[in-house]
Parts: sequence; structure tokens; C-alpha cells
Amino acid sequence: MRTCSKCNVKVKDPSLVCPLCKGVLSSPVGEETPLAFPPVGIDIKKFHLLKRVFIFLSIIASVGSVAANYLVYDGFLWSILTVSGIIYLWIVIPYTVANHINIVSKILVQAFCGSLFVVLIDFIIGYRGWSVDYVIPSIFSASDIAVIVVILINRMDWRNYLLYQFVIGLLGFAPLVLYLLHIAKNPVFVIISTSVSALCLIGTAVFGDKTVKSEFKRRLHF
Amino acid sequence: MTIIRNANSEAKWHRLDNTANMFPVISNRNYSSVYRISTRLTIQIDPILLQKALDQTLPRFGSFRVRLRRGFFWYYFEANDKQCLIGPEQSNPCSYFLPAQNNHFLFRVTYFENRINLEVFHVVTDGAGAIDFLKELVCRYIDLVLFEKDGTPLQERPTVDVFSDIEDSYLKNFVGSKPVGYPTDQAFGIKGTKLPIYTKGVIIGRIPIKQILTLCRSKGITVTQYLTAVMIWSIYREYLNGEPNKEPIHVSVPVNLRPYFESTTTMNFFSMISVGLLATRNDYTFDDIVATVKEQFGQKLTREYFAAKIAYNVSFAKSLYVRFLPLFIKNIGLKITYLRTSKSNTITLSNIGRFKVPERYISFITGIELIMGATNSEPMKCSICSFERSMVITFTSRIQDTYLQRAFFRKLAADGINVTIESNGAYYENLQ
Repeated sequence: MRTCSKCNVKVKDPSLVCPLCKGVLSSPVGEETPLAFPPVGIDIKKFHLLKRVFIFLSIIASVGSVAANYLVYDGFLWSILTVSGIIYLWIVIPYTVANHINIVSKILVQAFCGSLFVVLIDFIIGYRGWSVDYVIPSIFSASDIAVIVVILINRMDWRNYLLYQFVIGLLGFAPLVLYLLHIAKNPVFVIISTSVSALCLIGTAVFGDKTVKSEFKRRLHF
Repeated sequence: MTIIRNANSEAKWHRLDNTANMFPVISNRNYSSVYRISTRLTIQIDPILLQKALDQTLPRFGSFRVRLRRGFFWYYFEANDKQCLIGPEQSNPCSYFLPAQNNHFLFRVTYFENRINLEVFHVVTDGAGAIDFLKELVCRYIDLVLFEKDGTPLQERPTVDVFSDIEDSYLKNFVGSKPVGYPTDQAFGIKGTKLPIYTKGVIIGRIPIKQILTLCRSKGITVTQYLTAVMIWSIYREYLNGEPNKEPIHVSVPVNLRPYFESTTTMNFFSMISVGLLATRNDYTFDDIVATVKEQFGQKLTREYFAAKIAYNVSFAKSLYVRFLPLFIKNIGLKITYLRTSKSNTITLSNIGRFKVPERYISFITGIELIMGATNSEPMKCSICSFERSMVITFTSRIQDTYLQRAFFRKLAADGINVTIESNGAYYENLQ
């Protein structure tokens, strides 16, 4: 084994210099021992080209639309729409395309963030209430139906979807709450959304077997 | 071995222990909360036998045979009946566990040449729990190798006393002590140019136990106290240049609480003590530092002190308000708490003690080492363990320079200890 005379230690590595002080080691005595670790590598995923291209395009689009909006300003800040759309894309899309995430949880996140986003758009272009009247009830009715389709296709995995299904079901009552608070005005969509959600929750309680019920107990333990 | 699953059986589950709730929240690609304990054998590892050894060992360890699930209010563990697959060692130790990797198990068994590595996500258990699992696995592997070679009958007597005791010892030992929290003041932080992304530099120093024990006895201190003092001394000399500094050097030392509370849990049961030096002068001698370290250990290594720490951890989790907060809100709170406390920590120094195996296996094992994942906020960690006649001190670092490691091992050498250094090669990258 070689020694480092400055550090006063023996060095086992097959190296000419001391890993501690980079000083040159004394000449080798005996045979070389190979490095006891696999070669150190750098994870190149971090330097994903496609992602960089998208970042570049996003910045160009954001800056471009703000500049265009400023140059031909006619009293309407439409660039807020494009920029917030791009930000929404970056926040929500990675979650949706990641492949290890529960599909019903993706539906939940999209439904929730999408609802907030349409309310934002509604406000930006002069609030007329179409987001809470039509879009949000539709989003949650559609989500409930999408979850049922997923469960029917993948019946064995139902218990994995249960928690998110439950939250989506509860959020389906949000339009009713908004209606009772006189924020939403259109009763037809509220009735559709509320009844679809109620049916889903009742259906789960009725058709869910013992595994579904014990899953519920686990997921909601406190 | 095939496991027949009863379609009607309800999946078994249990709660995380009180500390474990922290780890899923603070872990990501940069900070994995994964540590690795490895044993080196005298023989090359045969992957087929290692897989067989794992398949036979795992069913006994209920606390390892789990996957992590997200509930509405808390995370929980669910029994995992799938097979845990072994694999060759990857280039960077202690890397992050993607949730769906390896059938959702929260640990990995890998091999390299003659070494078996057990990498554990801290949510499962602490070092004391992991070392028992590794011991059983390695002994089973050696048994299988001997059986293959000349038909030596397999040992049925397990090497550990307790396989699986999923008691939350924090809750069990919670008494109404006055809670004592963790320090949140800004400590001195080690800075420097980072190594390339996700790369960790590992420097391992091996020393004879006999020499260090003799030295510590002559000073009237324990080995952990001595090494903590060397650590503070090295930082004081190397980074503070022996000058006063308004930010204290804080070395955080994890302590296994099982002996203090007579627990045999195989889940987490540890706490941290913070030992430090607020340098106000420029003439501290090493003996001054030894004295203050010894005094601080004496004050903090008591059952009462840990009871107060447990009270702090548990009182939060027992509060009704906290219990009914949705998990994602709890997680935001935990993350803030973690960020507040982690800045009051210069370096972690963890000594998990001796790796003891029955007599018949000793001749097959040449060494053991413990590696902890370093983080960007706490870029260096030091971990210590020992086997038979040698003690192994490992530095894991995200920083390119090795001033601290150099000062540390030079101090040991100056105190008359024979040090043998080994590295993972990360520090040679620029030279080749």
C-alpha cells in the first residue's frame, strides 16, 4: 500500500495522489488494489435536451407576448392570459405525464388546478361568471365519469383510486356550495354536478366490497 | 417460493413511527434520506444466492416488507407481498428511491465484487434496525454459499433476537415531560464548490479499534466523544482558521434510544443531540474542546433529556388539530420545521456501533462500512461503525475540496492512530 507522507496515512486506492491532500504518494509497495466502487458517473437525465428546448420556447413566447401586448396596447392585457397559460403548463403538465403517479390523482389535480385556472381567465377578461356557472360543474361531472371509467377498466386496482375518487366526489359539491352562496347562478349545471357526485359516492358505498371499505378505513385513519 | 394471496384478505397495515413522518416530506433527488450499510466478504458475491438469501430473510422482517401509502391524514405502511429484487451497485450510493422502483420496497439490496450493500430509506427504520436485517441477510447468504459448496446444513437459529417489533416507541414512552424542541439558530455551514450533480465523494478511513480505545481511555472519554471533538477541532482550525466566529459549530449526533427506554422496536427510535462550540477566542486547544464536548455529552445523554425530546415530537402528533389536518398541509408544516432546524447544524456524526455476528461467520467477513447521503444544505456527513478489530469512519460529501477530511484524518494520525484511506474515486475525476 502507498503512503502519503504529508497526511501520514496509508492509501488503498490505485492512485498516484492522496485523495485527502492531492500530494504525490510514495512509490507503491506490493500489488495494486482496484477501486472498491463502481466508476463515478453523472446522471445525464438532468441535462435533458427536450426540456431545455421547451424552457427556451416558453421564455420566448412569454417575453414575446408581453412585448407585443405593450407595443399595440388597446386597453386589454391579453398577455397575462398567455403567460399564465404557460405557467399552468409548467406546473401541472409534469405531474400529468409522470408515469409513476396514480391516474385518478392526476384527474384530481387537473380538475382542481383547471378550475382555478378558468376562474382566473374569467377574471382577466372581465368577470361574467361563466367559469363558476358552466365550466367548474362540467369539469367535476366529467371527472366523476372519468374516474368511473378508470375503475371499470381496472377493477382490481379500485382501492388505489379510492382516496382520490372520494376527494373528487366531495369537490363535485363545490358548485352547490357556490350556488348557495349566490356566486354561481345557473341551477341546471349545479344539479347535474351535485347529482353525479352524489351518485358516485353512494355507488361506492353500495358496490364497494369489504376490501374497499377496509381501504377507506386505512386511508382515512387519523 | 410463491406466496398465495387470498383475494378476500384485507391488506395488513400499520402506522409510521413518529419520526418517520418527516422523511417522505423532506426527501427528493437532492436529499434522499437514504443510508447504506455494507459488508465486504472474502468471496465474490453470487447474485443468484444473494437473491435467494433475501427471499428467505425478508418474510421474517415485517417492518421491511412494506410499501408506503398516502392516506388523507397520514402516511401509512401496507404489507408488500411482492419480491424484492437485488441488483448490481449503481455509481452513486444512497440515491433517491423513486416510489415505483423495485416493487415499491423502501430498501435496496445491491452487490459489487465482494460487497453486499443494504440501502434503506430512513422512513423504514434507523441504523440499529437496519443492521439487524443486514446481519440476518449476510449470515443467510454465507449459509447458502456453504450449503452449495459442501452441503453444510443451513442454520435455522436466527442471528438476531427480534425480527419485527413494530411498536412506535416514541408513543409508548411518551410521558408528560416538558417538551424541549430542536435548536433553530443559524450554525456555521460548510461551503465550497459542489461536485457534479448527484455525485457524492466518499472517503473511508479505517483505524484499529485498539489504538483509539487506548487513546480515549487515557483521556477519560468515549470514542464518539473523541471523534466529535476531533470534528469540531478540524472545523475550527480548517474553516474558522482558529478565529472567533459568531456562528457556532454544531455537530449533530444521532442517538439510539432503545437502551435508554428498553425498547426492541424494529422501527425508528432515535433522537439527536447537538454538541457544539461557539468560538469566542482564538486560542482553544484540543483539550479545551475535549472538555466542552465531554461536558455537553454528560448533560444531554440522559433519559430525562430524551423524554423531553420525545414529548416535543409526540405532543404535536397527538394534538387533535394536527391530526385532522389533511396530509398535504401537515407536510408543508413539516417541511418548514425541517428547514428551520437544518440550518442549525454544521455536520452530522453518526456512530452506529459494532456489527456483531455469530462466531462461525466472522472469518467470511472482512469489513463493514456505513455511508449517509449528503445534502446541499448539509453537504457533509460523517458515519462510523466497527467490526471486529477495525473502526470505519466514512465522510460523504457534495463538496469538491477535502479540507475537513484531511484535517480530521491528519489529527487522528497525529494522535498516533494508524489510518488507512480509501475513496470512491470522485476526487480523482479532474486529475485523470
